Amino acid sequence: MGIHVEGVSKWVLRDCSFELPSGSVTALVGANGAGKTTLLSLLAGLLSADSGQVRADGRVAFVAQDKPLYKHFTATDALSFGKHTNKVWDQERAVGWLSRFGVPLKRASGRLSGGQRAHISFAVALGSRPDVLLLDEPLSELDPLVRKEVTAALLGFVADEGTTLVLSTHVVSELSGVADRLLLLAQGELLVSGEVDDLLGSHVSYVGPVSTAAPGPGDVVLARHTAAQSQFLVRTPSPVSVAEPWVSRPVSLEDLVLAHLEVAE
Amino acid sequence: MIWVTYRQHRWLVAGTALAVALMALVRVLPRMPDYISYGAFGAIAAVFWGAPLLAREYEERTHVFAWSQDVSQGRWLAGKVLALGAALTLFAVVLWLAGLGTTTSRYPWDSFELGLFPLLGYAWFGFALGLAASALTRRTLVAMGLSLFVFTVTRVVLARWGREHYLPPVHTWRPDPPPGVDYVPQLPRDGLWIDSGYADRNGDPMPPPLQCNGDDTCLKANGQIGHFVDYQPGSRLVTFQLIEFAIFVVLAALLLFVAFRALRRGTRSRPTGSAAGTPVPAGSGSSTRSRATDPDAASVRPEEEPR
Repeated sequence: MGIHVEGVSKWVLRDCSFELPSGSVTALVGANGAGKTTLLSLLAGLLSADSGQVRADGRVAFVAQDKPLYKHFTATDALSFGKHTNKVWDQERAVGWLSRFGVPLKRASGRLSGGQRAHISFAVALGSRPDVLLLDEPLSELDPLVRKEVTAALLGFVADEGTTLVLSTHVVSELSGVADRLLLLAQGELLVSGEVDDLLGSHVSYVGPVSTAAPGPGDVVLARHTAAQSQFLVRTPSPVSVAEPWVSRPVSLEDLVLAHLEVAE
Repeated sequence: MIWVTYRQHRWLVAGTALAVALMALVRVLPRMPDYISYGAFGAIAAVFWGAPLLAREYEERTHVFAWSQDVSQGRWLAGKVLALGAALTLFAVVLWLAGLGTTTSRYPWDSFELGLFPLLGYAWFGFALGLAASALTRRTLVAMGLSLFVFTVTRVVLARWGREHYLPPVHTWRPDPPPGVDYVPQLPRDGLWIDSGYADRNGDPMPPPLQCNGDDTCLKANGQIGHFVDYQPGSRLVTFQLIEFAIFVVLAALLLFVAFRALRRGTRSRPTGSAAGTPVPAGSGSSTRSRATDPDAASVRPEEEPR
C-alpha cells in the first residue's frame, strides 16, 4: 500500500479515511477551501493531524501549489539543494526535465516565470525519485498549451517508477485520462473515494419527462429539472435499463465530479 | 546541510566577516570603549543570524520546499544551527585574538567582555535568542526587534547588576589612620569595587550617623572606627568570565529547545483561497452523501510521527 489515511481530522478536514495502493494515480478534487491542501500537507508530513492516522509508505516528495523556491537560487542551485537534502538523487533526470521544458539553468528563480519555477519544482521532486509524489494544483502556473505535455510527462515518470501519485485540482476538465483513482472532497468531507472505472460503472444518468422521482434504482446524487425534462444522476451498484420514454446514459468523470460538488455546495 | 547552509547564508557570513574585521580594527585604535566595538557582536548574531533564519522561510514559504525533501525538519534546522554556530564561534575567536594585544592588564575588569568565554557565550546566546524569536513569531522584522531588545536587556542587566554578585565579595576594613597620616587605599588596583563606607569596631559596615554630617569627631563618638571595602579580586576574573559564560550557555540551550519545539509543533500553512473554483450553479433535488470508505482501511496502524 502507498498511502493510508484513517479517521483524520485537521481544521476543515473531518474524519477522512482512505487507502491508496502504491503505484496508483489519484486525482484529489474539490472546490477551493475544501481541504485539498490540508490533506496533501498532512500526507507530506508538513502538518500533523488533530486526530486519526496518516501514513505514506516510503519517501515522499511534495510540490506546493505556489511552487515556493529560494528567490536567489538558480535552477542549478535548486537541483544541488535537492541533491544535498535527499537520500536518493537522480541528477540526469532532474536536468532532463529542465532542458525538456527549456528552463534556464543560470538565472535566479526570482527572475523566472511562474511556469519556469513550476518546472524547477517538478525537476527537484522527480530528481529525488520519491515513492510517493504529491502535487498540489501542479498545472496552475503553466501555460494551457503545455499542460497536456507536462501531465503526460509526469504520468510517464511515475508509471516507469511505480510511484504513487496524488495530484489535486479544481479544474475538472483536466481530469479525464489522468487518474485511475478519485478522491472528492467537499467542505472537508470525503464524499467519493475509489477507482475511476468502478465509479463510472456505478453512476448512471436517467433522462426523461419531468418527474419528481427517479425512474430506476439507485441513490440520487443530483436531479436537474427543466420545463421539458428531468435528469437524475444516480449512484447504483449495477445500472439497469429503464422503461421508455426514459433513457439511461453513462456518465463522464467530469459529470460525476461536478454533480457531487454541486450537491455538496 | 553544510552546502545548503553555505549557499543560503554565504552573504550573511561574508558581511559578518567584514563587520568582525572592522571591530577588530577599531580595537587597535586608541580610546574606543570596548562595549562599542565588541558589544555589537552578540547583537549581530541575534538580529542577523538567528532572527531571519526561520521567519524568512515562513514568510516566503520556502520552508515548504525545504521540508518536502527527505531531510527532516529537525535535522534541517540542526544542520544549519551547527554550521552557523561553528562560523560564529570562529568569529568570536578572531575577535578575542584581536583584542588580546590591547587588553589592559592594569584594570583587568574593564576588559571582562573581551575574554574568549564571554564572547562565545554572548554570540551563542544571541544566535539562539534570535532563532527562538524567529520560530515563535515567524516574522523577520518582529523577531529582529524582539531579539535585539531581549538581548540588550539581558546583557545590560547582568553586566550592571548581576555580574558583581556571582561570588560573595571579599570584605576588608581598616581603622582610620590618625590625623595627619595619609589614607592608604584598600582596594587593590586589579579589584572590582562593589561597596565601601564607614566601619564600626567589628569592621562591619555602619550607616553614616545623620546628625554628624561628615564631622570626624562626631563620627568617632558614634562608633565609627574605620572604613571597609567590598570588592572582587582580580584573581577571580577568569572564574567570573566562566560563570557568565555558563549562564549564557544555559540560556542559549533553553532557547534552542524552545526553537526546536516550536518547529515541531507543525507548519501553519495558509489555507487555499486563490482563484474562483469549480463552477457551481444552485443545485436542486435530493442527494446522497455517501462517505466512501475502503473496507481494507479498517486495520489499526500505529500512529506515525509527523516528519
